[in-house]
Amino acid sequence: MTQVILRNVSVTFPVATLKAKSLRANLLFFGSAGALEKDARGVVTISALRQINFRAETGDRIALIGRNGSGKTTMLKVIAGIYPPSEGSVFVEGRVSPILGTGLGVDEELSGYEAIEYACLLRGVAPERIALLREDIADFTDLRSYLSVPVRTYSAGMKMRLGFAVATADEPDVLLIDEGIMAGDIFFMEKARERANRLLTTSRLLFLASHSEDMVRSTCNKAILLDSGDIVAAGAVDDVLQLYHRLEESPRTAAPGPAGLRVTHDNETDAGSPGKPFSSSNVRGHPAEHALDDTVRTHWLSDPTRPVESTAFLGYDFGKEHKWEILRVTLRQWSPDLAGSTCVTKVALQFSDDGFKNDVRTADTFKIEPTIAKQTFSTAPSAPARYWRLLAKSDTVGGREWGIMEFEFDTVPPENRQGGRAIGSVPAALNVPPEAAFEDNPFTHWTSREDQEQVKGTSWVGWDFGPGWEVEVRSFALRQWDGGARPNTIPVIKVQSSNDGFLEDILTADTVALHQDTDRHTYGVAPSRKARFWRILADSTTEGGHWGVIELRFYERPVQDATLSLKPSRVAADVS
Amino acid sequence: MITSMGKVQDEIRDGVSSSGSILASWKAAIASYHFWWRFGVMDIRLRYRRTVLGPFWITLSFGVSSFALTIVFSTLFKMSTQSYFAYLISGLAVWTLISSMITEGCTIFINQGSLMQQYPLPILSYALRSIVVTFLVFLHNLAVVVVALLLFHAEFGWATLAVIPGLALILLNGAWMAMLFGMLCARFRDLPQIITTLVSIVFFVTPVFWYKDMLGTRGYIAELNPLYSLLELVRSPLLGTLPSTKAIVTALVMTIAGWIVTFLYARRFQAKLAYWV
Repeated sequence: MTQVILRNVSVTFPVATLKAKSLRANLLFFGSAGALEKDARGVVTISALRQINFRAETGDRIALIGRNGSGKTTMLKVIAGIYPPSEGSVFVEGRVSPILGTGLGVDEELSGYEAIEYACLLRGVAPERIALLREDIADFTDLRSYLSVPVRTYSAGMKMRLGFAVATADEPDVLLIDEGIMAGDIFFMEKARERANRLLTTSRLLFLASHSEDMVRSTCNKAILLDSGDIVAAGAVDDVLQLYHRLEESPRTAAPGPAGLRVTHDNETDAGSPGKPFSSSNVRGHPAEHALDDTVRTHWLSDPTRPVESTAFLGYDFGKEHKWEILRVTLRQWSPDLAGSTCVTKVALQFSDDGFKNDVRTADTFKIEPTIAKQTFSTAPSAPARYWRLLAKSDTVGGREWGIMEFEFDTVPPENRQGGRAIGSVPAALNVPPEAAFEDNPFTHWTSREDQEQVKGTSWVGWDFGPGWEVEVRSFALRQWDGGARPNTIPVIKVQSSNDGFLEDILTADTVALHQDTDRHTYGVAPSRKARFWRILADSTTEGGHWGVIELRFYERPVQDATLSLKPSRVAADVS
Repeated sequence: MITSMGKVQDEIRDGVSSSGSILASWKAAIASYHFWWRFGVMDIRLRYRRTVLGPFWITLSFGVSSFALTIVFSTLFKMSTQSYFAYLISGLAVWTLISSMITEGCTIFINQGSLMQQYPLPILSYALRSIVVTFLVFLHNLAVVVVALLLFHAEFGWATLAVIPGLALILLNGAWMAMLFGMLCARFRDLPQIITTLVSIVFFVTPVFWYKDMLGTRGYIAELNPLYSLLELVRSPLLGTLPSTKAIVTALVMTIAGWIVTFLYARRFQAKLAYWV
């Protein structure tokens, strides 16, 4: 069987600057006993891959997707054995054939025939085999008449064809293709596609790093989404692509700060926090052989042979005198083959100050995608607390076993560092795809589920200015979807502030009648108080239909000033 | 590929490989002789492709320049042109082999960086490829040497056979030097210049143009030079005498010590090489 297993693989890149590569700087370093470490040596290390775990096997055709610099090529090189991982281990069973560059790796002075021979040698094909393969390769390239002239006379496309022909000639078990370099054309050649299909259907393993969605959809059956060297999601192609689009809209994330907490083991946490994990009695660490590897423990929220019970939970006690607010949760489910394996469709994130005896509050609920092995959830605003847990909800359908490989509480979401984050009633405030907005502004929040549905209950959108921030909103600019064009948009909204994420502390600052005939307007807000969370709310008393907010900005200035200039003040924020 | 055929790459911590994985990678390198031997031959062929004489330009230019040097130095030293020619040309051929193994070794990983980024060939095989190239050049030079010796200094005997183990030792030393200096130079980009300069200085203090006896009481200058021992391993048998015990011992010690140092360095840094180039 062909398989590729990566266990806890990290790759840190020493980016030696010119300074660091010179001997002088290093002599200087030794001489100065480390004082000049940063300046003189100037080695910047980049985490290209972080704690990657997965197993792929025969029949998997895996797309690596992610933005530029997210670690796709590095991952291919690690699988190819070109980059030894800085940490962790790589297990490859089968012959690997990488296509990582356009060049054949041989001197272009060679003729086509010679190039085929030498390029085969580079790929470790035995000379006896080369004689057998040569004709096949020559046929495949369709370059017969050119094969006796030097490769340097070929066009880029011809070289690429030759490269692809050689790489796939000996029917490798694992094929690694970096589409970014291969320009993607190969798959659109009829012959290459035929051959690729043959390779793929004869139960081989393919890794394809690609930006082309068409190519990914037509070629791959699984996808891994990488961001900043981390697997953000892995699973079915369509679902992962969808997450990728969401990721593309968000700002590039920096490396997770030290506040990130990873619970991977009963007695082990990354953060050096004084706390410790806890769980319900029916959660247990599963034997290592059932997990992907022996270093990351699997926590079962059920007995592997019995259904998930309503009381199963896994959590973290941050310790006495520690109160944390969880803003982001990363969850990796047990899944042997990247496909996701859950029967649990919904989990709840809860917090408590007394260990869930009397004080049990639910911060958010997450829908678990059955096809996604790893996913990051932003949580709704809540409050700092000592105990946090993840609860498999009792209304879970299916009733099979469910395991968590790893979950990570993160108290500093990337948005937070940039001055806050958008919040909204879940699930009533929804992002709508860009094409739904009448302009190309992609940031539409619906306060009703769809544009056909009526606004119900407390649908709202707002802004969390972040821990430690207190702002008094005195005006806000609002752009409504299709504002003024339809009669049944929301006539009246409330402007509210809160310091606990609208759990208990809710103060209505003002009630504002919305302009029906303009799509964008700046409204004044009566003086009230400073608070961390602000929102506008279409409440249940409002009559009317669907309502979408394209743009929402809060200002500290009263409306008179704001109308003069719509530029946001320091704490103003876009709901975007 | 050769390196990853059903093998678990060893657990690597902090970039330090285990001794076993280094030995395995070196074994794989030797086994990949299809690569380094064929590519070494290709390098030579390509260098002279589209020339009339082909690789025999090496032979020709070496023969002509040795002859010119002989005329000058035999006059300067007032020696018999014939015996000096035999001495100089054999010494020069062996020295060229040793020095170019070192200087070309310095740039192997720097020059083959793009290849290393595309194919997971074992690291040592790149060093072996460079050794093959220098050795093939030496063989071309050796043809001139043999002709010159037959014409002017035919003292072939049983001792001449010592050329073979001598060459083997030189190549063994060249391989570790290429590997070690190659890795060091990929990391510290000033080193190639430094090493090239050093080698050319050592050339002048090594008895190639001149005889060791000419140093008189300062014979230690030559004795302290380990490259002189390597040189003697092959030059002496070419000229019909066995190399001195001291030369043999020095060369053996150098081989063993050199490979140990290279091994220790590789264990610490070989895994990082791909990130340096």
